Amino acid sequence: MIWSLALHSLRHRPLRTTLTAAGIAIAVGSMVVFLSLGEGLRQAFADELSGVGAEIQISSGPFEASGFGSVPELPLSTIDDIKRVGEPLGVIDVIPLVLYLRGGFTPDSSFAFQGLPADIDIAGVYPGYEIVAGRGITPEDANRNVAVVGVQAAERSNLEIGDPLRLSPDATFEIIGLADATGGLLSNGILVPLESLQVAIDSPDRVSFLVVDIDDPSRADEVADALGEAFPELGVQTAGDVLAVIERGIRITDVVRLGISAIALIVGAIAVANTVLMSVFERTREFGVVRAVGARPRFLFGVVLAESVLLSIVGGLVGVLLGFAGAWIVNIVSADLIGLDVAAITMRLILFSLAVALAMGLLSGLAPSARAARIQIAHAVSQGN
Amino acid sequence: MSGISDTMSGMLAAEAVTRTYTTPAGDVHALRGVSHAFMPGRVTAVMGPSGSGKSTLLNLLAGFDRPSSGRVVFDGVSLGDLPERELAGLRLRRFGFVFQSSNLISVLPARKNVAFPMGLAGLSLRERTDRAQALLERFGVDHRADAVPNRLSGGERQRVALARALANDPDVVFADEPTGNLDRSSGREVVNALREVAADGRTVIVVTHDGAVADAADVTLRIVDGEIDDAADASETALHEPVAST
Repeated sequence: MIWSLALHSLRHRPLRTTLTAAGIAIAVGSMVVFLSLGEGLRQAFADELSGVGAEIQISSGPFEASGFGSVPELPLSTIDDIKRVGEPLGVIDVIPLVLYLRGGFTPDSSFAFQGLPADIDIAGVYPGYEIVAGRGITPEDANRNVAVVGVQAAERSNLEIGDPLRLSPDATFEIIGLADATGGLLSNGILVPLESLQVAIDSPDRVSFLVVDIDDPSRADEVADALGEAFPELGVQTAGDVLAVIERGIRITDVVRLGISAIALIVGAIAVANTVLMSVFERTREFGVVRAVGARPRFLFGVVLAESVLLSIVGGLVGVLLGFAGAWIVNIVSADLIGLDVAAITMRLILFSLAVALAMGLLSGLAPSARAARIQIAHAVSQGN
Repeated sequence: MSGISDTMSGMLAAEAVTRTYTTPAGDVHALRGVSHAFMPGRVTAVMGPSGSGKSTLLNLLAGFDRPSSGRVVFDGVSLGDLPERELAGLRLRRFGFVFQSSNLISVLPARKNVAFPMGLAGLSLRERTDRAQALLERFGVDHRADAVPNRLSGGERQRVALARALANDPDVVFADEPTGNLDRSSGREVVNALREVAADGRTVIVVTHDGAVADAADVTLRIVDGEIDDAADASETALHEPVAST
């Protein structure tokens, strides 16, 4: 009875119902898009890090403070110290890595240079590494300004083999090949010989990170702890630690994005409350009649709350669909700009959004429902006479 | 307490009922000690000028409001002693209501309007659909069963309202200005229908300004300034013999 009457009431006022549900849908849809960015970043980082073969990374300080693109601070001599201490722990190799971001005004003029020793097997650092055009870096390239560009970076910035890549006024690299690998870290970056990059950025004998390869990946935490104790001045992280740091950062942005979404949700909730309350005022006489023929106050409370909840559920479902469309558009743009899908709609995001919509319906319907339940029959039925 | 209400089953009575409203301008005495027994099988018309207290009397008799003093007694029970839950149950199962126009649920078609109180009373969908259809047939509006109220004429709306008033087979039917917005012909149809309802043995109480309704009533109660006008007190209309209770 309650749901049937609520449904009839909503269908009887199609324009008002549609507009109110549309308001909720837009509020929920914008929330879904905002929060999908966090879900997308989580997935992207997990994918990227799964594409890094090394189990342990070492930086000159805590990972959070190491910062991409800052000046490399780790002395190369640290490699020997790590090897010496790490060998009994199962450390097989320690690979230096210099990361340097050359910023631009747009994503297609920004490049992430990654300097690795010219004589190592790149597939050890980036599983699935393969040259798709031209050639890769060889030991003979150690001090030459040559570069292998990731396929996504090449596509985004329209780069071809033979093109020059200017890192600074004094350093230009020549593209000798295009490469791809599992994950997007390499295919969005530019690989150059370590020594060349160190010279180009005037930072000889310093690196950004050391990538530590161990014989038993399941002991990564144990080895990282031991290295951390031996070198307290360094930041030693496993891939899991890095993900945890990133997760913490994303959670902070989640709160910010949820806060922004809350504004739209509050506006939507006020719109529902206003619409339902207006509808209660308009139906005072009718509700008086319903009470007169035997309905108890809680029946009217239920009818009005059901109207509010139905509006919110329909708005929430449409909002999730809008969110899918919004995330799809965001991904088209982000894939074009940075080669990554930054938005993802997960099941938990869908369920969370529907729960928020339901809560919105319940909360915004409480005041109008209480108002309907308090209607005095004698006063109500005399209205309009 | 023994009173005029103790004599007959299904009888509704007002015993020395007063209703005073407190307003910023002072107390307003809407009813001043009204006593009357409303008999089953009869149509009682409550008449009087605007503001005389007749709607207040109906509100008290129907349990919409509670008297300031005195009591309203139905089947030996004072309505003032009943909690709201039991009053709602009484209105649902023992009382029926017809108000002035626009007293149907606007979003429901006629059949569902009639079935509505049956749903509240817990009847199955089948039962309420069949019974609603039968009641609509009784009042000659079954062909309009699927029409929503704003597609019905004033007369049709009131006949649907009468059908709804009988949904749960009540003992008492209240009608507040049932012919107020109707033309003469439709008004006559409604009055005849009310007489039929009384003929079933029900108590019918009609608050009205309409002289034609009073003419058709078995008893006319005239209220003036919150009191029963003694000069016309409960005059039995000579033209209509009271219909015996069944």
